[in-house]
Amino acid sequence: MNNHQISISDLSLGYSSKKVISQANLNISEGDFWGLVGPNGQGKSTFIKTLMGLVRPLSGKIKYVGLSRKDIGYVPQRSSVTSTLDMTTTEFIALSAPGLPFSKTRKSTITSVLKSVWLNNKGGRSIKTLSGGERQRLSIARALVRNPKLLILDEPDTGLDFTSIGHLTELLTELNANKKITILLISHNLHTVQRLTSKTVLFAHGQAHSGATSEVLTNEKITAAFTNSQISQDSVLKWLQKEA
Amino acid sequence: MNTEERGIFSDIPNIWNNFTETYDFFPEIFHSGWLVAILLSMVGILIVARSKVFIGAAITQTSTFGISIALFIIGLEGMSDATGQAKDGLILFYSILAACLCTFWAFVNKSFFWQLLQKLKLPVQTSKESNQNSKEDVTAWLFLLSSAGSIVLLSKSPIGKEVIDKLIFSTIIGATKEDVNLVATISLIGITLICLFMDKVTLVFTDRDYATAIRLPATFIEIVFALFSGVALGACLKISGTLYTFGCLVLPVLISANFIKSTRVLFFMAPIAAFLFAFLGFALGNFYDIPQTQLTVFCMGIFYPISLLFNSLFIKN
Repeated sequence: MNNHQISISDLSLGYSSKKVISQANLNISEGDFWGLVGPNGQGKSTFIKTLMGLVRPLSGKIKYVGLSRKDIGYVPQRSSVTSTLDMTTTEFIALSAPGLPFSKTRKSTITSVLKSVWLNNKGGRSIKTLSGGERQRLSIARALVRNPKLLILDEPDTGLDFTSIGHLTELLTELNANKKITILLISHNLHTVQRLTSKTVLFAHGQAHSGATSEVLTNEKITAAFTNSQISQDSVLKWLQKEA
Repeated sequence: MNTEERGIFSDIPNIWNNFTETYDFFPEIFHSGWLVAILLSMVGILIVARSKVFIGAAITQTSTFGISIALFIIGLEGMSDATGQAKDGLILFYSILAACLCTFWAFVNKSFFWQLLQKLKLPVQTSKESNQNSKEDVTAWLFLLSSAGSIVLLSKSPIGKEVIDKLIFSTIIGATKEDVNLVATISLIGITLICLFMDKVTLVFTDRDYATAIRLPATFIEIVFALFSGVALGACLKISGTLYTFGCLVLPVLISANFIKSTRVLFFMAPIAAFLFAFLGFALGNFYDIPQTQLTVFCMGIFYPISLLFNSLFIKN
């Protein structure tokens, strides 16, 4: 039996002047691994912001069963760490959990989350010395320190090399399989989504088509979704070529 | 060179004696200079954290323009007979107002302004793109307009022009006990806010997206910072002038950041560095008869590349 679930019914999203998605229906259950794909500007980010309660839906309902919005962990895009100031890995994690910097279990908690993302030898190191892949895993560690039931990752593989993507996918599989964390993964890399996820939502032309990944990621649907889309065309073309 | 080095070192007892003598006569000058340096270095951490160093220069210049407008109004209203306190109050008010307008523009997320305009039923459309635009163009425009405007506005007023020249020259001579009390009060408020909310504020200024995602009141924190930094910058500018204000705002932070890896430690290191440089600059300036504020900024400027070298040799790895 599922312990937590998010039921989305007839959800329309957007901002006051512009509707981005109409009538989306989706059930996210414990242990699910969802991929969110689609061209830029089609509502993927708005969708996750709405799930986190940062944007109000225009209409429709989101029902949270067995979890609250506080149980949602978020891993933003790499570019979100924009500061010119340096920071240690320990500090980076500690800042995100209220009360943690002064708690007695601070050190062990941080060591434990660093270990869970295979960065146990990087405690106290400057984040500027980490590679792109290591920084991304550190961002995941920061989200994990809040013990999330649902983890949302916004394009975590952007700009990563092949090896780093390999580490990342391995880590996400482990978190989903062993720690039973439900995962929503936004990615332009259709290979990654195909390999990792069991279910996918395709955002395109104001609609959110959801279903099993094998049913959603078909040549026909992807070609239709990405037609006239400049962004991510390369990765999509590569995927289509391989599928063909 | 050896002779010169021996000269400086053999001067140390004289420098100290000269400093203590002058300090007894003009404590306000030293106190206000040191406090301004400490206060601005605290504000500067968050400005550097948002990578908006040059906006600091635009803010100080705009604040000077605010003082220029105040002096212009004093001239127009025939306030030449008003008491010094009334004039001072008006100048301080305009200096802070101009700085606050800048800090609100620079540090508060634009969605706040859009929502405000929409609540006021003004016909505006939310623009997502405008949030992502670089602020460099507006920063340059503000800097140039304010620099030129503060001179042009008072070109027919010899007294007003003298005040602006003094601000641009950045002299702290003439600082009063009231100035010291004002900066001390703002500094105390700043230290209290940092002690209470350092982690939250650091997260909002280093990673706003994530801070919003974990429900930190990012816009509220930005508004409080904009207000606080506006008041601090406006007051410090009136007391110490543009060069010293901008120098103390960014250089202690940039120098300290090269010696440590932690942003939280920077909140202690930067004010200490600012005080040490200000102490050195004021003591040496006093003895060698060099303008103290300029010497302080010069010392920090000289030390910055040394700190960069130290960072690349010992800290980065």
